[in-house]
Amino acid sequence: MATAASDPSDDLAFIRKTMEDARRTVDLGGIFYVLWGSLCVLGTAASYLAAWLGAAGLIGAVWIAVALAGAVAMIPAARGRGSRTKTFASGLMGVAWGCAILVGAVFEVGAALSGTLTLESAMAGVSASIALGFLLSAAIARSRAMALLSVPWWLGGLFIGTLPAMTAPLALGSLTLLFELIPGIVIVARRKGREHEAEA
Amino acid sequence: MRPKPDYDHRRLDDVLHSRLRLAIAAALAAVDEMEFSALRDLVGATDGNMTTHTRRLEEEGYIEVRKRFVGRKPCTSYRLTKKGKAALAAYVEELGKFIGK
Repeated sequence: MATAASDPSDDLAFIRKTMEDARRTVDLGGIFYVLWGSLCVLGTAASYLAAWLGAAGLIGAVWIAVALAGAVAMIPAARGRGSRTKTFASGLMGVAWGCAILVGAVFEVGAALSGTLTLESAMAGVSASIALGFLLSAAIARSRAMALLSVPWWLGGLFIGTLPAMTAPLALGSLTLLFELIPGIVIVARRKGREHEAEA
Repeated sequence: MRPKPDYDHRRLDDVLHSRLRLAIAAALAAVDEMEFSALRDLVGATDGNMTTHTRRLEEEGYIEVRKRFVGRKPCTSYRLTKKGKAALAAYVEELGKFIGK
């Protein structure tokens, strides 16, 4: 970067561009994916256990518990702890994931109340709500990688419902591991790498 | 380009008349707060340059520095002060006069 300013119209364009870039800076919050990925694995295991014990009606309650636990655990993040940048876009990202989780929870509770909830439809609903979260996040962060990450989740939403009941949680668990936990760990590791560079 | 009659380059703020300090101020004007590494990545500076220029902006009262610990690691964040916002606005206004906006 040059150290001296050049002509005024160039400077104005430069200021606008820098401000625009800063507004678009969104902390992808890897810890968010690690947290929700871990909770989803636990939720999947609990759903699997509930179905195995013949208590599929508890699956809705399991996912409400997952959503509540995640929301409580996210309070420090919502207050900005651990976030590199506090921007309007970062706030929107939290709202996007909140909406996606709410949509999933409403679907699960509604289906449970109407007595139509099955293990595989519950898993498909979770997959679709995570897909929605990734797609909304991709739009906010203008991240092609995040948009691509939503694809397996959308496919999960479409096809997990067609799997045998006891296979559906395994499919959701695999999706969570591959397309949420691992990307989350990569984001956290990259961030830590940058922080180490800054400290060195 | 010919400057407009009411443009006076001497009114341009010396502190902001540096690409890097201008970039730092502009970036911070668009966010509430930004960490050192995020700001450095955004403006494309080296750690040494960032330290020098943020110190100058801090001495002028244009930015506030917040140091805290996340776990056991130090974490430095920056925020544009009211004085910094006013200085950036004045700088932009002066540039606007030059190009007649």
